[in-house]
Amino acid sequence: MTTDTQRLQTELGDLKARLKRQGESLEFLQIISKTFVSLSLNDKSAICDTFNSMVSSFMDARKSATLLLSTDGDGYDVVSRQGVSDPKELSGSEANEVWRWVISERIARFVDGEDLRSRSPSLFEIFPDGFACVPIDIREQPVGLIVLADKVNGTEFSGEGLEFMSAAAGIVAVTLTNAESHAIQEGLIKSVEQQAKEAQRVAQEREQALEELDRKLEIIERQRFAIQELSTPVLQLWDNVLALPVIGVVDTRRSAEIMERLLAEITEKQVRFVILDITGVEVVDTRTADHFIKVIKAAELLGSTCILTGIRPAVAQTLIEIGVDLSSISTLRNMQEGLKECLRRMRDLNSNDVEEI
Amino acid sequence: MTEISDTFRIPIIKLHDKLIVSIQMALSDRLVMQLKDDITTRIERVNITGLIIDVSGIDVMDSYISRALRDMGLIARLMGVRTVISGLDPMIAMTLVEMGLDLKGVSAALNLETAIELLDRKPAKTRGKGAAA
Amino acid sequence: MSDTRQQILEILGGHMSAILARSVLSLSISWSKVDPNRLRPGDDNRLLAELEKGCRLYVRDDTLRQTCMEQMQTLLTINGHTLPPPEEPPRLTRVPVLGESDIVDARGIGRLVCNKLGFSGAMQIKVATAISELARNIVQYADKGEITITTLNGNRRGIEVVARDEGPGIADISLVMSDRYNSRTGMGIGLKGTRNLMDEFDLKSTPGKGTEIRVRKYMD
Ligand SMILES: Nc1ncnc2c1ncn2[C@@H]1O[C@H](COP(=O)(O)OP(=O)(O)O)[C@@H](O)[C@H]1O
Ligand SMILES: [Mg+2]
Repeated sequence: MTTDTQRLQTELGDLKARLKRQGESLEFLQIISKTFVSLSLNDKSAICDTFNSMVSSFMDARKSATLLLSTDGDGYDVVSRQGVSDPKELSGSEANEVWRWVISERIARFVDGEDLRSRSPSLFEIFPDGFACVPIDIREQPVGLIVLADKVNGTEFSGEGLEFMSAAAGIVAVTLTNAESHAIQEGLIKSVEQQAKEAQRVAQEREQALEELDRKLEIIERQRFAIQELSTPVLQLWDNVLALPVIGVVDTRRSAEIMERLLAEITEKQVRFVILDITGVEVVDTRTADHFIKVIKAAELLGSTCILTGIRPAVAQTLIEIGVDLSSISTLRNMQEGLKECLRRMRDLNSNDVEEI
Repeated sequence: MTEISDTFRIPIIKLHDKLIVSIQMALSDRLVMQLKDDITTRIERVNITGLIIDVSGIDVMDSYISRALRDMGLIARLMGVRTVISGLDPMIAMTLVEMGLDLKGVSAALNLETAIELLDRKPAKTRGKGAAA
Repeated sequence: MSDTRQQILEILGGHMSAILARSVLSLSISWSKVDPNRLRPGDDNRLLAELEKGCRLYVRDDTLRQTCMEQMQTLLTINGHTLPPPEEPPRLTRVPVLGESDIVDARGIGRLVCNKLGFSGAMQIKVATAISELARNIVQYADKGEITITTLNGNRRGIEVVARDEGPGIADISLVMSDRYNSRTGMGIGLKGTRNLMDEFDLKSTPGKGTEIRVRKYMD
């Protein structure tokens, strides 16, 4: 019994660790894509360099190299490398033979030291413990490969690591193909930015005379903002739960503000649940109800669940009389009940992971 | 002469049993159509169970784009793949709601991590929970 | 008829790709607020200054760029004196909508203008989304047309967007604006959505003649 439980617990621990690692690699891949898009690298070697260092640091590899098919198509050029002192060793004819061989498999794989020794003594010297590699395919044609070796913590390259490498290689391939379009895009963005700056400068010059007035207006604006903030506090009730107690009259302007603030907070704090508490709202008409429904829908589009609490009896009565349909929305008595419900659902989310085992 | 519109493609990454599309640019209609085709072919060719479309870099979402995203979700579902949209900008979400649009047929997640969680959960249990209707 | 816009494009096209030429020109037009086909005295220099900035990015070779600028200068000097003065007010940006790729341009420019005016992020997105809907309708149903974006500086600051085309027009306006309308081409929600996003919405359409949709969004 105890051993069973222990075994299950270890398995659960393992699974959680793997899930976490999976999440990390996804986030990392996203960072890589974002980096490439935002840097708009147009140069093959710059792309490979950035990429090589990002991937090798994620995989904790001391040695890494990115090779691309040379222009004559005969061998491979070392476009980027880390921890490998002499690039010539990687592009000799013996090495090229090995690259051709690993690329022909078309998948990410690990080549162990023994296997390597028999194929290429000189590569074996550089990678005595073998290496992991993945081909870079553009339109189903291999155009190069990425080689990683010598993990810092001494572990092996696992199946997940190799899968991560394939996904990463996919990104390089797309980036290389897109490089030319990036060049054009970069130009466009630059020209827009430059012109925006120029326009701003001109505007500033003109508005110098109005500066004093502006400053006063700004102070007033800031005070208004502070008052607004006070009247719609967004509270963090729990790790994953925000609460928004709405007090007073909700007109179109107020509701727009509420919506904007709440949604921004959801995204910023990445919360899964929101409690919209309207205990402090005494009058609700069709428009107000419509505003609440909109906030709730928008929150759900972001991936957050919204619960409406604190509908007063008189308000409930009006809602039914004017025919507002709130049936698609979870409604509960008060904020406490709302929080309990959120915690229950959160527990459900977590226990589901266990059921999956 | 190179036209951006003729060469640029939105990357689709396969990771484990999922396809991940990260949209980091303003979407032209051509890019949208291309993406729809690309996703469909990829789903057909590789064995996956989930599709995540990360829209955190999108500039606006009008009725055409939101319909296309919904269609991608519906097509994927017909092919046995569930779709989650992640990282929608709050201001875009608000705009969608004010226009009267929704993304029926796809779920929403705050970020990639929760998107994966959502997909890894049992389909039957997912319904009515966390996901946008 | 001499189309200065087209002629500038041809000159630029000799030095860069067609798409770059188009974007350099459309950005120069929107930033200088000069319509090449309606040049007033002084306009040519403002437009040329913007064009030069674009050329500096894409025509790296100094002598080539100089040639290109000289060609455009000559063109604008000749055309500038033969064309009638414009009747349009100056705080206006025109975006021709001739094809699918202009939709992204139009909404991007709309967003920039809102940003310059100090609109909040949410408002910028709303206006950009509305422009996207109107521009797409032009491409889908009227083939081509034009979007103009005007800043409003009266007692209510804001922005006005007008989408104009000479397409087939809308026969039954109340039908397409009704809740039950469902189109086969899209979601049938572009116009209704635009109306919801903006503060003012005005649709005029004559079957066989064309459509003009005028919308406004105010800052406060
Ligand atoms: N510029 C236009 N010229 C002609 N018809 C138009 C134009 N814009 C819209 N329409 C008509 O109005 C209908 C509603 O447009 P819209 O609300 O944008 O929905 P959708 O484009 O999704 O059909 C369209 O289906 C079309 O028939
Ligand atoms: Mg439309």
